[in-house]
Amino acid sequence: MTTNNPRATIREILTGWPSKSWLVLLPTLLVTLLVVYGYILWTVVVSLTSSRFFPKYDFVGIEQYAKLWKADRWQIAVDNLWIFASLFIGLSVVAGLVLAIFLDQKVRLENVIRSIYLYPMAISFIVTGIAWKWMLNPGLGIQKLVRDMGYVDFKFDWLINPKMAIYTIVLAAFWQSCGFVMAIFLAGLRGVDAELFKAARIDGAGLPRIYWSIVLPMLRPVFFSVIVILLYQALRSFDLIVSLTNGGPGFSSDLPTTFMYQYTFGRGQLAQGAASAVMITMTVIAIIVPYLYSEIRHERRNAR
Amino acid sequence: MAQLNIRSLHKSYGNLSVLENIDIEARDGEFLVLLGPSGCGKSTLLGAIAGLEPISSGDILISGRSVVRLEPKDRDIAMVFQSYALYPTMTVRDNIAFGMKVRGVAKQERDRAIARVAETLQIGALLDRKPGQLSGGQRQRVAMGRALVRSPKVFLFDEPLSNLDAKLRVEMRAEIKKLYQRLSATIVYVTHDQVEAMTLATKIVVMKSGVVQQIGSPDEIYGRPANTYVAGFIGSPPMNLIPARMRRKDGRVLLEIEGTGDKPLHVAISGPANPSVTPEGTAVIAGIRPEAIFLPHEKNHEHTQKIDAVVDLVEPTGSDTFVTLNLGGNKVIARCHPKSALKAGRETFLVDIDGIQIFDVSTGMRIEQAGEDLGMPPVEMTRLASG
Repeated sequence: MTTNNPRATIREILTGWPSKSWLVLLPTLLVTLLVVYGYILWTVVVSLTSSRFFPKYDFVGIEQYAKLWKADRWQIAVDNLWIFASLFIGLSVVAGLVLAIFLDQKVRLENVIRSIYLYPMAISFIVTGIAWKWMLNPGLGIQKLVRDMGYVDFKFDWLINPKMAIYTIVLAAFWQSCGFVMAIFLAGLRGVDAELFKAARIDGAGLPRIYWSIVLPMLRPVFFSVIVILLYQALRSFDLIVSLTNGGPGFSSDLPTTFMYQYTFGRGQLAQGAASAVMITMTVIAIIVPYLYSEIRHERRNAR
Repeated sequence: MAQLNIRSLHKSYGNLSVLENIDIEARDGEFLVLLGPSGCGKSTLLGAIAGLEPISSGDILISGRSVVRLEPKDRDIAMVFQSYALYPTMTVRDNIAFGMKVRGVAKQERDRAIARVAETLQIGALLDRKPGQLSGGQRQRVAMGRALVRSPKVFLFDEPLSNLDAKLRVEMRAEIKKLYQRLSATIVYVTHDQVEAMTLATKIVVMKSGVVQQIGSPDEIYGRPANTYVAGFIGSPPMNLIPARMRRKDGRVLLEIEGTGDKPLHVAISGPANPSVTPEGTAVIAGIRPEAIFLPHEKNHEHTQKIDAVVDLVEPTGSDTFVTLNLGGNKVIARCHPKSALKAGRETFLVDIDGIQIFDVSTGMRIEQAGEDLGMPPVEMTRLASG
């Protein structure tokens, strides 16, 4: 993941304060405070002004937010985000789990298969986006391939269809994350005591029943982590959209992140872009904070 | 309640044979203990009875019906696992009920069965807790409850006490024994702990590398070990095994053991039931239990022989004092009375001649002695592994 473990940092600062270790952390701490939190604050300030190409500090209250939520393009971006996030998370979790369960049945060449599924994770989103853009290009990729095979009426033009473009992003993101999800679930499955399966078999349960009634409930914390990680990935995804559809056709596949970029840097609507950025940040905080809270609580409970 | 028969059972992984020619019979209400060190195949054998481990050949019968082709659930068995294998996300109640739910037992009947088991095991107060909130002993009870609720023909226990601390283990051992006495069920119990085996079993199967070494009652296993392996495995400390030679003098059979000093020690024994097995001068192994060696003032015994030995080490344990002797270069352990003041140095001991066993040097098999089973319970079944 791109973030460092923020839990460790916070804990170390708190518990290590009287010792000298905090001195070592001080430069990082200062830079983080200024560059991350300082500019988050600055963005909030700008979002309350009427800045256009350059920042201007005339406070106009929440006017920018009112304007934002009235804008069609923002509505589409938000709707797209829900479509994208729910489908992307749903597909990745289901497929990742199924793959992990299959791979946990003591298959041969497990390491090879696992590496193959994990490999997309090593590629940057830009590359994924471009590769899928070529494959999905009707005149270049899958559509052309199938037509060349003789099925002349075959049509697969999601990339240039405003109604379907968002689903191409789902497809590419799912392809990239599925193996990662599988790896996390596989680690969780490996932690399940083999004697549980034996006990359940003696109780008369078949494999589907064993997984459904016993193993999946045990994986609850894993589900939780996976969903939070994927949700956060969905919310911040930007490079994939830029390289795959660039929000197009028109702005039919915009997400809040591309909206923010377009307004801030493309159209000289600094305050409007800032307002959208604040919305994204607040959504991320709403998801991450409860997660971190529960994780820290869990850790404390275990430490005792 | 049923009898269990295992007939010439083999199991191998490729060329590696893990169970060889296993023949075991457990009568109705038998507490059969499979005893052996780790890797001896005892757990694999239990898994084969449960249907969790496929077998290569042979037959397993429960109540006279072959179960080899049946799924574990259809064998009418219940099993208690070493790790307890409780379903962690379910409450104790659901853990016990799971098997019945799978079989489609009606809720009313399930509740009745759970109440019955909860009363037997005194876990009524725990029914709504999760396994994670229970102590080791409580988990153990719940695991037994899950087995009990099925009222199976045969109960299988796979080292059920090895995850408990020493004190709790003794308590749970007693509980299992009480439970067995109340249920008079047929039980197969796997353990590597000889004390568990001796205290619980009505019949012990001693195993080593997939081969049965001896089958018999705890008395037989202890008193008449079939071979040097069993003799060295059972007992704590185990039987002393000392190299010796058979001698004959004036019509008496003597066992010649290296003694302290230059003179060998001669102990008159009743000798083999069949004298031709051990002609004059045959090397044998003499087996003497630590309690068969003691100080002259400790016990009054008819057939004893004096031996002189050098005391190397004295280890008091409270109830007994274990004395390590040097007898002609062999290390021999004697169990003495804790009040007997002993110091390192030369000392005279008595050996109970009736307690001396002899074993064949090359095969390690026990050699039956003349008149030995007088006063001993008749041998019910002492089938020895061949090879």
